[in-house]
Amino acid sequence: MNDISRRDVFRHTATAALIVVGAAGFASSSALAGPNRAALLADPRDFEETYKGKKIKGEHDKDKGKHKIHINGKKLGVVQIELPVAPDSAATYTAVLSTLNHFDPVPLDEGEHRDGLKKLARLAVDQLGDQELTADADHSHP
Amino acid sequence: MGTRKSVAVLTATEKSNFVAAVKALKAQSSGRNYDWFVRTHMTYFNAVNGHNYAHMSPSFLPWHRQYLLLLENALKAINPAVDLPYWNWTANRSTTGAPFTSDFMGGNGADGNGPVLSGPFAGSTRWRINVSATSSTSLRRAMTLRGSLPTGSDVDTVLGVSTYDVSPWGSSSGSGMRNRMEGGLSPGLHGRVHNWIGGHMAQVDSPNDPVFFLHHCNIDRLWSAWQNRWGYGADRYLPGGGVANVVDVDEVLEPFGVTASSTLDHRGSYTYA
Repeated sequence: MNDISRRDVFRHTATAALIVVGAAGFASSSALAGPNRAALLADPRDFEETYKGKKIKGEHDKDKGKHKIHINGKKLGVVQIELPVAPDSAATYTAVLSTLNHFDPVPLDEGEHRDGLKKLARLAVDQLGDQELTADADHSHP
Repeated sequence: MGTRKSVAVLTATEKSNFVAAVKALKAQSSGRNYDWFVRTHMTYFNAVNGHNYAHMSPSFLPWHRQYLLLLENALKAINPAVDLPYWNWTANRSTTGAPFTSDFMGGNGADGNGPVLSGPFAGSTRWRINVSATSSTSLRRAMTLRGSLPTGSDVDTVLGVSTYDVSPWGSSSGSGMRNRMEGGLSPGLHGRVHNWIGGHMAQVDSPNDPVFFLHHCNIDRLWSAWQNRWGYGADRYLPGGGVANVVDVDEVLEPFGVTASSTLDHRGSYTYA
């Protein structure tokens, strides 16, 4: 499947999901209360899994760039940046950095890289090895 | 006035003097001790008061020039004979050669991703990590696992760009020398070296590894070489003024309290050999 067809599939799937949400909301708002509503509103790219013995959890917030990653329950500082696609080009792509991989941006959301936040979390776990995050890993970002 | 030399030509005495001064600064219990430099770098990795003073902005080079000068002056207060040396990674590319020798910076981390095993900064009793995003109290390196060392050709490419920086004055600047030097734009000299060393050098608290200062001294040397070619004048730094949230040439670099323009001509304070 090429990139365009992947995007199309994602867009059509997301559109279908919105239709379902809308129809459900019209039929019965109570059906969307509690955990079901939270599940429907979650970004499909969000994740929660165990990687190399550490629990990693990621929540996307691309609109505001305030993505969240937790590793074993401790917060990792994450920043979203824009980078040029090539020298002398005005076009940019979106990438994420963390307090552990501060000079190693990971593309966030471009075509086949929709798992960028998870890759960043895994990179942080690789960096940690047998260590854990400290309170200073939750360094505030703009 | 000091002369900053390559790590490859330091004498045994110069190396031991530098290590001793760095450790003495680390041992100071208050004021601008070594951990103050670590904490300051962490704080200024991000925007402060709406300004990106230290990273992903035109003031990346002036901010670090002033930061290094403060550290060098702190070391000179301990031993006036000490000058900050630079690591020219286009020439010294081995994980076991200068500066990674047992009489200077020490070598790689255990198993390639653990505590440094050799040299004066190996182990928490010799060099304790107090301020960090990660829990190890020993200095860590993971050399060559990620990143790469720039080549001489990469350096030539960056130094050949005559314009200091361009709008939008950040990580997304598509041209200019600064973003190529910092790492947002190919060939990206600065960031990839942090990654090549790995461990603490890859983190927001990268100054925990004293190699940080040797690497940034080389970045400062390359900026100086660019200035020798294109000029030291205030007109060579951009932006010249009127850009919000960016340090213009006559704006103050925090937390140092000096303007960007005051850092541009370093030749009254130090030169490079």
